[in-house]
Amino acid sequence: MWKYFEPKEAQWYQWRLHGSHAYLRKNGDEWRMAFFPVEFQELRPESGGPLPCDPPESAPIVFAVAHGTRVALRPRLSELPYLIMARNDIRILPGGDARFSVALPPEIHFEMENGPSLGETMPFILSKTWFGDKTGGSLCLSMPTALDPRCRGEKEDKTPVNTWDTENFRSLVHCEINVRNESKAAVNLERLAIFTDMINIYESDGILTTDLVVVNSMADGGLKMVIEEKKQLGARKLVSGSRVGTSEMLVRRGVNFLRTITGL
Amino acid sequence: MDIQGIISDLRSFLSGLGSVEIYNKLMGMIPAVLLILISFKILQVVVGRALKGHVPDQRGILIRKLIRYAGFTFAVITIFKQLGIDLSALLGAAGIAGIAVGFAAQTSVSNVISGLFLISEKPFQLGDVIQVGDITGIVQSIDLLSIKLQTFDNRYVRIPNETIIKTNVVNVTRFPIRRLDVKVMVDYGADLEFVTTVLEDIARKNVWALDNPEPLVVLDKFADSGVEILFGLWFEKSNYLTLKNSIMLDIRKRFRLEGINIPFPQMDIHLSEPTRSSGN
Repeated sequence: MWKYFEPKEAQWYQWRLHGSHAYLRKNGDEWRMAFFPVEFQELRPESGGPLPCDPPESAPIVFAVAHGTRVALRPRLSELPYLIMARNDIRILPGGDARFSVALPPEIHFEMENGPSLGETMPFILSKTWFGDKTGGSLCLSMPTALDPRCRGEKEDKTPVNTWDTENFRSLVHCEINVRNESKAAVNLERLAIFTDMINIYESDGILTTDLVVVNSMADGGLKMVIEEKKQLGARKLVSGSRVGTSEMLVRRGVNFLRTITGL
Repeated sequence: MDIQGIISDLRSFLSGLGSVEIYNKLMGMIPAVLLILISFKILQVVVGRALKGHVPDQRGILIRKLIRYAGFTFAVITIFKQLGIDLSALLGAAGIAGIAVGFAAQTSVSNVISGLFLISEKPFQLGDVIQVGDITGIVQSIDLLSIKLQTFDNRYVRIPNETIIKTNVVNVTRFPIRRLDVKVMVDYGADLEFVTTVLEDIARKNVWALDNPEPLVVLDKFADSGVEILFGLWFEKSNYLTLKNSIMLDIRKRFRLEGINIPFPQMDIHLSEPTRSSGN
């Protein structure tokens, strides 16, 4: 689904992304694209493509002019942070850690084999939210999901921890977050903002995953957010995060800001 | 030294026009003046670049302007010195003239002082949207005498700094998020709890309305035609018009769907029958 292919001339192709659709047609150097976004709450467990199809009806067509033959649909994380709520306030006592799984909706773009992007969109409609106070803060994508933690030594139960599971929702980016409390005081977790600029995206058997995001509550009362890079056999890196980005800056700058982000 | 002295200096200068000495003075003066002007120009550029990103734009512009005018002043002083005109007399005369000009230029001076207050107080910056009286626009420049606005219907408005200091100025875009208040009126027969739920759902489904801070639904008052509800939606400041248009459509569509009536002002008139004794 995310691999480069050589489209036939003047033939429309379709990608299905859980109810959202992306279309592409090549005609010489002219590339036509169309996107049908879908509400994130209305996702269906289906994805695939590219498949030859009829021209899309009633969709605004986006044009691009570029020389090349091979193209791929590619995912990338939004530049806006994703804000996720915990289902209930979760209290993590000193020394404890909790893992969360979340499926992040990626932006998609058509990428030529030599690198340039033909067109991009967010195929999933999400509302936005604000964190920080009313005089300063950041705009975030609001994830309509509530997280349940998984803890060390926890036995598997049948309660789903993630509404959008890995197997059925392959076009979403599956991200693991580990919140550790290394301080001497309990922390209450209400919400979590995921900054995406440093996160790599991997693909393995058509499933999109990321690095592990670790949020540490430190002994000095501060918070530290780091990305633990994956070393996974058979996984192909699709998107490389930037080395220096907002997340790193936040770690350096410290703590008050991160505290606001996580609502700790 | 007085005015007589300056006049005699000028007279001797003019009488000397055409002489070799004057040309020698001019040949010495022109490069010096050019050097001064170029040096101050370079200083202006260097300081401008150094300040960029460290001080607000309008303060940077003001500092650059001060350097420029200092360069001009220095150049004029050099010219007078080279021409042998004694400046102390000129400055004395300027003092007397200054009093006269001061009376005549009270408004301008007031504007300049107001401008300095504006620059130090920073109630708004370049690019902010402000409202002064009934004028709303984007701040294009903040100068010593006035500020310039570009209104949304693309007019150019100059407002004297004194006016800005004296009147209430609303900075519309100071904070990154704002609240849009929509007054919604519903029929007295409507189930208000249900209406509240519907409004919250409308806000949740509108992509331009922020989830956090949460939307506000206040049953405001019992008005003449129905119950007035204040529906407040938070939004990112650049999405004002998009949200306003979309939310009005959302409310109308959803209220129709749910059978909630939006009442309009109406008056019931009861005509009483004329009594027989009236003689008609």
